[in-house]
Amino acid sequence: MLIKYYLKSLLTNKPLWGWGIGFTVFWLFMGAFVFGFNMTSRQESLGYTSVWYSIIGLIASGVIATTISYSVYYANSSLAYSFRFTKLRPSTYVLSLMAGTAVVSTIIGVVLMAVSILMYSYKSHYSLIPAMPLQSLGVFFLAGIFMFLIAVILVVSVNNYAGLKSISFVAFVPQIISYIFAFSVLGEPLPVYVIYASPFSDIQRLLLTTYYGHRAPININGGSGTLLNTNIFIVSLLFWIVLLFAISIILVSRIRPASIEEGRQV
Amino acid sequence: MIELKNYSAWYSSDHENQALSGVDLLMDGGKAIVVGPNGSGKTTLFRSILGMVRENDGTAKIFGKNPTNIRSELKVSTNLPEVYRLISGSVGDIIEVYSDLKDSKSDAVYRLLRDFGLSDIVKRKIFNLSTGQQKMLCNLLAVSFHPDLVLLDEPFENLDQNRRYRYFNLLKSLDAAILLNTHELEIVKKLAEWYLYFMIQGKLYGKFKGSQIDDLYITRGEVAENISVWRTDFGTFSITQGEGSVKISGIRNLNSIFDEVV
Repeated sequence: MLIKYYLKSLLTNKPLWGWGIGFTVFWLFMGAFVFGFNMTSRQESLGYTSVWYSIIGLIASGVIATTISYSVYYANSSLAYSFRFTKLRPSTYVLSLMAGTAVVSTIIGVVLMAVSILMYSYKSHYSLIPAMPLQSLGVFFLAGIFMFLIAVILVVSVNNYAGLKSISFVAFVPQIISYIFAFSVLGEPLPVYVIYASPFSDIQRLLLTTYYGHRAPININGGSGTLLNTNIFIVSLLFWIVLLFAISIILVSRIRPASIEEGRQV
Repeated sequence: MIELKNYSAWYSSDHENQALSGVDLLMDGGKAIVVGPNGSGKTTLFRSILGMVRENDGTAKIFGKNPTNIRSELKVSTNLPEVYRLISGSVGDIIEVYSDLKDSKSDAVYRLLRDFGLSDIVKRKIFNLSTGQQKMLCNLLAVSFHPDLVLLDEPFENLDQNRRYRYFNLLKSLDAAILLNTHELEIVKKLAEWYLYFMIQGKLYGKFKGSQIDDLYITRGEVAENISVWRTDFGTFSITQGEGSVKISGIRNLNSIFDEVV
């Protein structure tokens, strides 16, 4: 029941669509039509498209985390009450919202994929359909789960132990990290263990691989270096999801009611 | 049902602003009203009973359990607005979610909304409702899911006379224990059969009967025939029966109770 209404509220959330779709589509447009897209072969064009798709996919996922953060922040007293005086359990809450967020993330993935295909195919005159579209949407599904969990953990930690004054910063932390990892591929490559261990780079590399159809090299900008192991990205991302899920259940079950006025900045 | 022993609460973790001080309350069913000026700690008392006050000391129990650790106790209900913010949906969505979480049917809520002339709010978001409509919605949610104990925080505030009258009747006929707070003495007169407590500067005094209200007087100082002594920042005051300085039911505004006595 909760998932149905949560999903409805996410799907009618204008800021989420504005930032998660509108803003990211704008960057896809920039990648296709403004920045230098002069590839001479289909394979090169597909590689270029998949890099932009993976950057924008990760940023869109980060936007979801910000939306989730505010949702949990406003619900802190309701959650404390509901765990005590309704049949809602912390695990039910986390699972319902996690599933709802994953579905929304997948829908955003469908839109970004469609826009990428249309824009970049139009610009390059090649048919730039992703090599593994379903797997790519699966990555968006997992990205939604991960972003939901990290948002919940950050907000509930601040709510319980640090005070809500910093909520407007904390809500943007996953998005900021997403930006850092997303655009880091345009510079010098990060150490390989960071690329494997970071769930943010896992998401990005998996998006790139599923669009491009080949394993991603360590140096994406130069298209060179060791080809990285896709299975390690999957295992790493799943490990993070399991770990964060356990932590989120513990934290959410201990949520303490706080006045949302505490989050007011001025 | 409700048990508070020497219970204190603070607004902040540094314990500078005390909200409740040494409150004792034992309620084993029935209906009671807590009356006190604005800012006297009435809402904090209710939050404490629900285990929703962070900084506290003393003992609080609801149905024999510590309210902070209680789980899935569906018999308790409240009209505190912050507990109905689980999702950001329409009024109808919120009704459906809480009906499900309370293991109840939503029909009763819709019926009550119709009875109170609020059918048109179902598709609107809570933040688009007037203050009175929001209050009435929370009031109706509080009584809809077959509760055994209802905590009602200022339920008549911002309600028009018609809805007040209807809600009075609804509460009188409700088969549940009710603890209600208000800053309006007029309401005590209408609920004469209920038990009566006074909340003054974070301290709870009582219990009396609502029917006594026309017979209670307040006098400055500690007089011999008192039935209750209030020690406040404005001095000590005695509550007496039958005679005294100022008849409590005659006080025009409870927020200036001590001004009127002094």
